[in-house]
Amino acid sequence: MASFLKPLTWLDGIRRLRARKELPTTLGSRDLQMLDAGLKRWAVFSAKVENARALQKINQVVEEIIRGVTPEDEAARSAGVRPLKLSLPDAKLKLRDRFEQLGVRTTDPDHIGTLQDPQSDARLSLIVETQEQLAHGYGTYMATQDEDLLDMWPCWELTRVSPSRVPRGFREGPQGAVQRVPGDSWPERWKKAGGEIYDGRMIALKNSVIWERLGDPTIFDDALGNPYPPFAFNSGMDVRDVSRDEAERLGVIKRNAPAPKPNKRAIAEDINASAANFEPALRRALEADPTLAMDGDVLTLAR
Amino acid sequence: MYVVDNASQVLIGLSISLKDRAQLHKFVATALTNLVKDHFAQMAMTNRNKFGVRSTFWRRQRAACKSEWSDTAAAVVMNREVAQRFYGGTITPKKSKWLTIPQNRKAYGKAARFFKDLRVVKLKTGGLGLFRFVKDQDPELYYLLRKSVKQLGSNDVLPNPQQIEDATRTIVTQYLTRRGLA
Repeated sequence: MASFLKPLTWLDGIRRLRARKELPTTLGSRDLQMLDAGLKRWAVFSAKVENARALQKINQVVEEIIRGVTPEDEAARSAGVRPLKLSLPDAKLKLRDRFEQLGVRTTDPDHIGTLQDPQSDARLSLIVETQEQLAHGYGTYMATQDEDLLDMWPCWELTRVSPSRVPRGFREGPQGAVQRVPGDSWPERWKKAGGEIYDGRMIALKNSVIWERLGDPTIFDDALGNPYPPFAFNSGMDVRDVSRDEAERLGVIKRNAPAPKPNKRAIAEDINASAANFEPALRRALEADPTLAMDGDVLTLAR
Repeated sequence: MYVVDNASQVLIGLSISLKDRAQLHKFVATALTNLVKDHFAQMAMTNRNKFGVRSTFWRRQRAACKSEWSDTAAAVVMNREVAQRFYGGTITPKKSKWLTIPQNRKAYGKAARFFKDLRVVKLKTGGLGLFRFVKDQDPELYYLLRKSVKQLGSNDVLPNPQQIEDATRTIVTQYLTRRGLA
């Protein structure tokens, strides 16, 4: 059995996820400001799910979904035991059952089954998938903080990796007509964050401040506060590595320019996230999310 | 006559560079992970389930890809679901007696137990189905119950061997170029 040298940085993200605390979002903004940024970062934000035990369950469920990548799982695999991962439908079911047990539900009958209902499929999907993406996003971010890798792949490209019926920059209007929302598309956000376009592509150095800005809720009200994807709910956007050769050819960096320095700062210092930002971010998602449809004041899953 | 030996220096450098296998494998593993992730992104952009609903499956598989390396190997680590789609094979239930195969877009992406009003009905065609009974509406088939399902494998799930070879050649060349050896 080969002894691998470098899955550890990626696994750091998973370890952090497993170690994180749950943070009910009933805290006021002043209370939140007083909290350590690291605690905020690693808290499980879940859009007004206020019950600490419910939040703890979210944490456990996400951990089970990404199971198979922890050091314990690696050891189990070496011993011939295959860890059983939790599927997405099972994860949602577990959460739903736990929420029901704890009485976490909407009190407004009009919201039952909609995204505002913590027990709805739409809401559970949003919680589980966003948390899963954050865990993977952090893992990828940490894995790239390596001098050699930064030298060979110094840039990221912001790119779409999942289709969106109504992408950012548009919203669904009456009778399903798609309407433009000026200034909100990803290329417009990119420019607003100070990014440049190279040959029609959104590319920047991995240590560019643009990544922090894209995830900064003080700049974009649906941002989640990460300097790595997902920058916003259900955006379908992610980053991909751009090699030095390509970056030089496109003029993003000069020939033989030094590689970006690994980010040695504690991740907590980079984060502007707070639980207080989650709710406006969710509200924005409600307005523009492609999988949702507005029926009067009631949001429903469009698909 | 003078013979200027430039080759020795290059060969020594090449030998040193290639001796550090773990370093080389780190680049190869990362390059191939990037290739696989790009491939999954393409699949995510076009993938629809059988009900025409866009699926998050390939986006999730892309996010879960990571590279690992040692002095003897460079690897792209993917979820087991990818291997299932690549090699195919028989799927059997692990935690319950039956597999529930969605037959209705409302059932897609949800566990059968998510619905509280499903009933098992014997189908005319044989086998069992889970129907949802809602007052004043016709019963709807939500899931078929199966003891096992055979899935066909597909080579299209991963980049083809030529793409993998090209990506490997490119990154090794870049690696040596960065060290002034190519």
